[in-house]
Amino acid sequence: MTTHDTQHDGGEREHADLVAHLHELGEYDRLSTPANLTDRLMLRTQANLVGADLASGDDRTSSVLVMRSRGWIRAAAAILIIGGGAAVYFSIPAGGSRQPTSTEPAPQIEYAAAEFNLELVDGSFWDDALDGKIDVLVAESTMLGGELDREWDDLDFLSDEGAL
Amino acid sequence: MGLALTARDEPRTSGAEEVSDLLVAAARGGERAWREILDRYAPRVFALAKSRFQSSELAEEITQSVFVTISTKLAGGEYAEKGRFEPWLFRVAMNRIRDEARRAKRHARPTDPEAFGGVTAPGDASLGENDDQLASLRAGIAQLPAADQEIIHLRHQGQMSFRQIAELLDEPLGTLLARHHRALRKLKQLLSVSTESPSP
Repeated sequence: MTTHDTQHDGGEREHADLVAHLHELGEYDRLSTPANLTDRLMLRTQANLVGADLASGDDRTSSVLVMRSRGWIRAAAAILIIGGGAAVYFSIPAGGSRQPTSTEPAPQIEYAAAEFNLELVDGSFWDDALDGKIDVLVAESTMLGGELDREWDDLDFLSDEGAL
Repeated sequence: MGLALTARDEPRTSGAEEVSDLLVAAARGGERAWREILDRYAPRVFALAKSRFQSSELAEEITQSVFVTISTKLAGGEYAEKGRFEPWLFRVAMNRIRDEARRAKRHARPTDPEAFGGVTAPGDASLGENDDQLASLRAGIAQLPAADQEIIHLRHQGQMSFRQIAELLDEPLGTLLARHHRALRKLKQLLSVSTESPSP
């Protein structure tokens, strides 16, 4: 092997055995990535973006935050941002039905709640919301048009683009 | 360890166009695209940080911090995709790792490099029969100068190409190759000295 050959690959051919072991160590470190790391990264990064949205809002005093959610990640992020207290999540079918058909939180929301030690509380959709008992309501964006917007016009709405 | 050397002078490269599409979609808020980016790159950033600090907890904290920065800049339109995502990502990661190293140094307590050998974080998978050899390798790397460690980690944990590392460290490619070569030689010497040392 010439000096040039050695230089060309940074000495990896000359030290092939050592490099093989370094590759193995690198592979081990990558494979030792904790379980659910991607889920936590999704939560953390989305929470950061939602937090920036919240910080840009004019009024953060409302006890109810209605969020135009593009998915469970942002829902979980909202729970994370609000922290503490009770969070209520309603699984609302796409299509904008006035009443939710299920009060069971999605598995991903349960995961997020467990991850951040938050309590999920079931409740009656309209009454509890209007009584200010809900800390976070996450609804599919299709639900947040028309009727719901009109009925809750005294609430702060947050869209993906920021406070409306 | 008995592993055959796999022929990969240049570590894994992702399809540039595919990554570009993912970045554009992620910048527009595409969760699936962002998740795909995380799946692809987070283990490499995590491994890079873990190899430097030998702590899964700290490595995850750094990884989270890096991807918060990346997502914020993507969403804010501060990154224009021109096929240079990996160097950018790893530059952010290296800066974060260096910051943490400086912070740790300010609060440093003397540590015997040998102590790194057996360190595995809770929940880490077992290395099996290679435990001792890889632990020795890790201990050897820890005895290298910081600049040499950085190159080794970027190459083997971060899976970066030499060209990318040279760009990241702002060095000519030839210089980088020579430095890597010297780092391997030093590491080999360290490991042979370690092997020859009599047991207490």
